[in-house]
Amino acid sequence: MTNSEDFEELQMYIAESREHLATIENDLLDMEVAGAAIDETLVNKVFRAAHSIKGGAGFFGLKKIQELGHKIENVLDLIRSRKIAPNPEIINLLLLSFDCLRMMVNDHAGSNQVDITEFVVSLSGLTSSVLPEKQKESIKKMVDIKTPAGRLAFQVSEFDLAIAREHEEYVYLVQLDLIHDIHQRGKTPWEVFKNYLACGTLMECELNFDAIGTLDDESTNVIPLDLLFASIVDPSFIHSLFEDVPQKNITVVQGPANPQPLLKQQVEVQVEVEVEVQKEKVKVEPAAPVFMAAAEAEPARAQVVEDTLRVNVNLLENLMNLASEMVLSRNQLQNAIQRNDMQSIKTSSQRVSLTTSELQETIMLTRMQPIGNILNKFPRVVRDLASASSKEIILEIYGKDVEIDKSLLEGLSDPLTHMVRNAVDHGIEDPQVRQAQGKKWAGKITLRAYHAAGQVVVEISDDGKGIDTQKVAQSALKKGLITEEKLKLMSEAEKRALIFMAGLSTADKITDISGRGVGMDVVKTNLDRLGGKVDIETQPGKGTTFRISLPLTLAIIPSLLVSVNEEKFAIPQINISELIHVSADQAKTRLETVGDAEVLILREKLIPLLRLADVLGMGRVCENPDSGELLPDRRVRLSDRRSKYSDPFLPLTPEEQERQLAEQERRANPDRRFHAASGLEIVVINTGVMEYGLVVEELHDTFEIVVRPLGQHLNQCIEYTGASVLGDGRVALILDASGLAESAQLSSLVGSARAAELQAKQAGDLQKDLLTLLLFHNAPEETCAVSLDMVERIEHIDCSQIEYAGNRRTMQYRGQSLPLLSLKDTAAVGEIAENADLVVIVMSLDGRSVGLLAAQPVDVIETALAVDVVTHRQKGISGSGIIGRDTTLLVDVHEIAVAVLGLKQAEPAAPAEQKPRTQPQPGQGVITILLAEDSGFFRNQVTKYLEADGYRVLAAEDGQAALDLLRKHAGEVSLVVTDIEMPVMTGLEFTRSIRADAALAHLPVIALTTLADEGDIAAGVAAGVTAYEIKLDKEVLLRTVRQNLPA
Amino acid sequence: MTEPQVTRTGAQATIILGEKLVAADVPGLKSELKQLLDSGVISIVFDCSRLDMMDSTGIGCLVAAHNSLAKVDGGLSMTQVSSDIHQLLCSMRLDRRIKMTPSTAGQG
Repeated sequence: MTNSEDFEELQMYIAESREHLATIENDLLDMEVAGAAIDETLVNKVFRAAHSIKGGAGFFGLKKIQELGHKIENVLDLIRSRKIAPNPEIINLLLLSFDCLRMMVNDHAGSNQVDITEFVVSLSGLTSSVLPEKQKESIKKMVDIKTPAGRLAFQVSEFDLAIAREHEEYVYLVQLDLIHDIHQRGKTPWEVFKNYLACGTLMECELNFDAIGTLDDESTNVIPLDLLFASIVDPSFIHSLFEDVPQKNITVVQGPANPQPLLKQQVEVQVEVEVEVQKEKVKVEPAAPVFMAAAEAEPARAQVVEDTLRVNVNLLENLMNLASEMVLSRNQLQNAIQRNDMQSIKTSSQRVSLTTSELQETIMLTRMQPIGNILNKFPRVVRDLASASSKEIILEIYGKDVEIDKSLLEGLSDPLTHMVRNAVDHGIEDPQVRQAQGKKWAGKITLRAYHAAGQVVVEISDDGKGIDTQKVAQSALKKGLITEEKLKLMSEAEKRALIFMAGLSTADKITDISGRGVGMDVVKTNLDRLGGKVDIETQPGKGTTFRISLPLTLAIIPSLLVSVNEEKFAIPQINISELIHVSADQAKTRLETVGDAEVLILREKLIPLLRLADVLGMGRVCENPDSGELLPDRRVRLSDRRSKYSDPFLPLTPEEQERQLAEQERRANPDRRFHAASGLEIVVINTGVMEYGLVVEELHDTFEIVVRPLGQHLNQCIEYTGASVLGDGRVALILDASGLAESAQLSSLVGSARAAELQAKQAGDLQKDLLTLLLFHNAPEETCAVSLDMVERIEHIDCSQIEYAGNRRTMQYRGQSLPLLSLKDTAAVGEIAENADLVVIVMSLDGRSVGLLAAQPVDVIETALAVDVVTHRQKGISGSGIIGRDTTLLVDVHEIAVAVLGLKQAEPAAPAEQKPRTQPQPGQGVITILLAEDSGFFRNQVTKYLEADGYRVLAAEDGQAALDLLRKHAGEVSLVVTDIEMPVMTGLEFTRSIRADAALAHLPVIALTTLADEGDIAAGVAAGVTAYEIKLDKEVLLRTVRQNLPA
Repeated sequence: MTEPQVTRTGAQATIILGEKLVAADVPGLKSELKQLLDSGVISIVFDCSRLDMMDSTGIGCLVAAHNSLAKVDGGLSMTQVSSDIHQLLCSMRLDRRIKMTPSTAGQG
């Protein structure tokens, strides 16, 4: 390029070519499906892409791109003119040719040196309808494989190299030293080679005989050995295999003779990556850049780290406006400071703050990219892998438009690819096996992306054989990755998560695709680095779902600030389940010791506790509640009382001994803990695999923090993921939820005797209705409750915010008018006190927000409540129950809204995939669902949810009544939702009766219950339950209903 | 550790190796080999029927013996090599320079 104009034009050409190439794969695959019945529009589209790339290449002197583009164009022309039909072989050749074209476009500077002979010959051969004997020449042609230092290591035939690449994808030149890399690592050569042979093909190996000398020479300290190794393991994972070999001694053999050291690629990638955070991650963890190096090494398969970004012009306009606004605000602030006008300083600073927030949001928008950019490559990946493993697999992709930060998108590409490969290879069974099990011949993999709770969720589901948790656990035990004791304490989720441990594979056989125990650990590490969590759901014989939750962006994350010993730390909110304050008087009942672990009892669950001060090796301190002075904390256990007499080894004076005795007497008093300051602050953290409680000294506010990378000197500290500079200029380290648990070797204690005891108690409670309720007050003496899953937000308000229009109340809420309801509107209850602390409980009813006026205090409880649906029943009150000592009214907000706002009882929500439903009239296209539920409260709730989603509901109080009803309406009912624990006939008996009745056996049955451990699910499956759902998540229930409705 | 047993017939010697050929065994074996070479042996057969483990230094010792014998136009061979060790040495392409026959016991 001679000047910047040319350079810009070239960049534009590259960007356009990439855009053309982005959709080519799927278009070619569609052409393959269509076969001879070609879709001309589609072929023309692909033809135009090849034509544009070729045309531009000629202009910029990119001869090889031009030549290959031309040859592709010729073949597409033949297809277009129906001279040849696009069969799988032809499509394969076109796909490979486009891969090569893509690789050359990405490395346009070196594209003229790329050898495209093979493609040119094949494409020309295809054009002339005579396939060439292309291999003859390549068999004879020898290629030199040189080390980066230029030493000739091997000579192999071009044919062998091509075949190796075709079968294994990557060819590596590895320079090993048997003494340093094997012997001194305490390993034997066979141990190491066995691993290599399991993961690839040893194309060549040369031990340097001369370096060893003879028997007369001194024993040598080096035994050099060169390996030419072909493997499907990509460069990002290859270090897991050659873990003891220095990185500089492993090179990817790229072209016929130009091996690229991984280190060099790493340096190049460091220059390319845009975000500072990412750059630093490159330095901290070698795996991340190698991921990207892999992308460079094999452009056909992986996402290329792009160095340009297209931004919508309107967005740029917005940014410009905001920048102007910022300058204006700064000027105002400077002016106000000069005048020392405090009021103006305050106003200007608010304005700067507002503009900064808007600017931040808008800039983040420029980085957002549709996730389809990476999901689009999977049809090809699945097609190729399925064909290689002789399976038939249907891939369904949903949510391509979901947007995510560019850097996250790039980091997500390789872990997703690995998981999809696993799904194809391990998840989906062979067709014959599937058929024998009554499954469809073709397996199904579903990729789904969606937004949930401010995060991006990506699901990879398959309908294959599921993960055998016991097999995973046994494999880990056998390989010595965990101990038997630890295994006993593990929950099912923890056992499933063992698949993420390095070196674990349960695959019966190693295949080209996966099953070598190399990879899933790197997948987890990479997702951890992206700040993501992975949940695994699996059902033996039914399939597996990996659910990855990621923050929308990595650059700025909402975090909670906590402090220990006056040091502040940030915990990403994505990892926080809840915050618990254990007051002094609760410590004895809520904190226990199981084995040597301290635990918190949280809703009959054992939550292992971790003291942040201990895990970070900081001295524990506690604050003297009277003087505020910080003193060393001498408590051995958290539940111990803070007292100078707690320490049995402390020498005491006679007076102190007397006081100690007096205190011991006081200790007999159960209510001896009273001082609020001696309570505990616990952050309940969810790592995706387990929950634990992090004990900190102080909880601060939540902030959006700007993530800064850690320096090299901290890169071994698994407890931290980064750092942030706080508003006061201090630095807060960002805690790594998984790293802390790993560092403290925490386990969930699910398998302990105490956990079993609590579980038994909970199971007893579950015989009643277990409800999670938001408690609040109406009149001061009236305690009321609504189901927590209905609540979106709770807003503190002032009386003056309530606006009256006619007989309706509203308030301004997020730029809209929020209708305000009160229990008094429909029920004969008291008034909210005039001096009450008012709150508005914001809920969504049929897609519309409404607010319920209530008085403080509010609380959330989970309780096994016996609901009385008679005594206090009136409009707006569905029933009542005794909570603590108070009679609590269960408020039916839907009923109030129907009465006050005229909301209809059943308005279709009409989500995209929902079938059209209008009025609930039997037999006229309306879907009827039969609901069996003994609890009046739940029956009402579920009926409302289902009706609001447009279904007609037939409800019954027990299994027998439901069965009778079902037989009466056999032709109308499309799906059954049933409780399990019911009088007269249980849900399982009811399900068995359905399955035994030929007229009903086809109906899908969803069990909706509070009982759902592995055993319950197995019993449900055995009885014929189609899906198991836990009470009572509205969205999940409706989704499950939709998924299970007959087509 | 079992000591290697040496049987000599003219310029040929057969050494029955012990169960292991690891760093601790190498100096002794090297010294034995040197003595044999000094006394005119030019062909050595390692009987590996008992050998089930070899470390990097063991491989170094084999190669050093091969190099020494090559200097006097002699040769080194290995017999009854266990399946694992045979696979390892073949993977390293040592079978191109050192004649070796796998153990029949491990087959099938």
